[in-house]
Amino acid sequence: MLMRYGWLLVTMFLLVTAAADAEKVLSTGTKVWFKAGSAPEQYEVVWNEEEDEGEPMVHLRSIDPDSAPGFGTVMRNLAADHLRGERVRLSGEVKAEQVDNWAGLWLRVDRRDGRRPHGFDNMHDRPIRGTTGWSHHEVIVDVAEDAESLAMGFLLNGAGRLSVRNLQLEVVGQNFPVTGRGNGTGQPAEPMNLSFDGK
Amino acid sequence: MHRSVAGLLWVMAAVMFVGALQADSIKGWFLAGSQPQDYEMGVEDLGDGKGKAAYLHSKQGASAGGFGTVMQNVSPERYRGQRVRLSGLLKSNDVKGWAGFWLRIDGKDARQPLAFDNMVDRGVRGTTEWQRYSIVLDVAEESRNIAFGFLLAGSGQLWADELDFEIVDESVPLTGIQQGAGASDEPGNLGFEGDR
Repeated sequence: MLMRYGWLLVTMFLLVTAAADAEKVLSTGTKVWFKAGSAPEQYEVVWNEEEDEGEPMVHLRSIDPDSAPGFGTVMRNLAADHLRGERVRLSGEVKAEQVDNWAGLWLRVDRRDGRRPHGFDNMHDRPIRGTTGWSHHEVIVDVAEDAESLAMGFLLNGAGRLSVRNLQLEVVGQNFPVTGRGNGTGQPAEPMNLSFDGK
Repeated sequence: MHRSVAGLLWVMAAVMFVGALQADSIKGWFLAGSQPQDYEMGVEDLGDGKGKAAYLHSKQGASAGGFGTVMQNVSPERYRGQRVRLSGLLKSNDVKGWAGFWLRIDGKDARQPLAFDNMVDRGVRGTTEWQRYSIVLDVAEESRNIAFGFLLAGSGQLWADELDFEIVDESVPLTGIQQGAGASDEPGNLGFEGDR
């Protein structure tokens, strides 16, 4: 893992364009990705059913096409070592089929002692729903100085099928705004309910 | 106000950052502090025509050295490079320690806020009627988070209402501690220019 990441950093120094800095995080395939979630037994994961120009693709499907309580996710972890203090983006192409409830890419920054994460977005405020063609999605979070690791993936909550390809993780500049309503510390854009009348 | 007091301020600021506990009894706000278990929060109508107000009360046997706070975090995105003012009404009953609003601007290092004021130099003590207080801080470009709320140190009862969080111009004087002015580790501006 560290060796792999070292190689990535070398690449980052050698290549100039921002796009070249991106790590194709799906390319590690089943070696580092695993199924998780609140109800992983309700979901199945299929790798590489269709090859797309050599890019790995992964499918996450509810086993019962009519109902799936809880959510399933395909995820991986990554040491935060060289990303501390950086703003990172997880992006990818997602195709949804009959997603009943919601689905999304997610990225979470975990701290050393397991306290509340510093950065988190799971697209809950802009969910993927229904049936869509291949579409680009992204989540952007800050990696705090005391971050230990990153966890990332895509989740499906409820019945449906999700296909994901070209997942990339890259460092972006501060000019890219962080996404999501919260960053794990519950960070809305504006103060709320300042008169305690619930608005 | 000496270095040790300033040190304590930073410790409190840090504790507020890490001591957060989730609670959902006031929409958008949560209970935190060094001893959140010693305090309870909620919303009540005091029947004084102000509608609902938030309360923060110490529980029986609250330790005198701890504090509780009702707080929220906000993204600095819309406020970077601006001066912001947190103001609102506070009312107190038999506050044995002190109480106040607080506002903290966090940078990269969570243990070292970019700016902070918790009204410790002009805290609310004893029993007081509704009165407006304010805190004014600059939100630096490198800000990562804005945290604010009201706190009660020691025992007592505190109510808060009609908060405002707004951008103000440079003519409004700062309160509290700001980093970076002269890069001194001695806080030079401990905010005796508050509105009281």
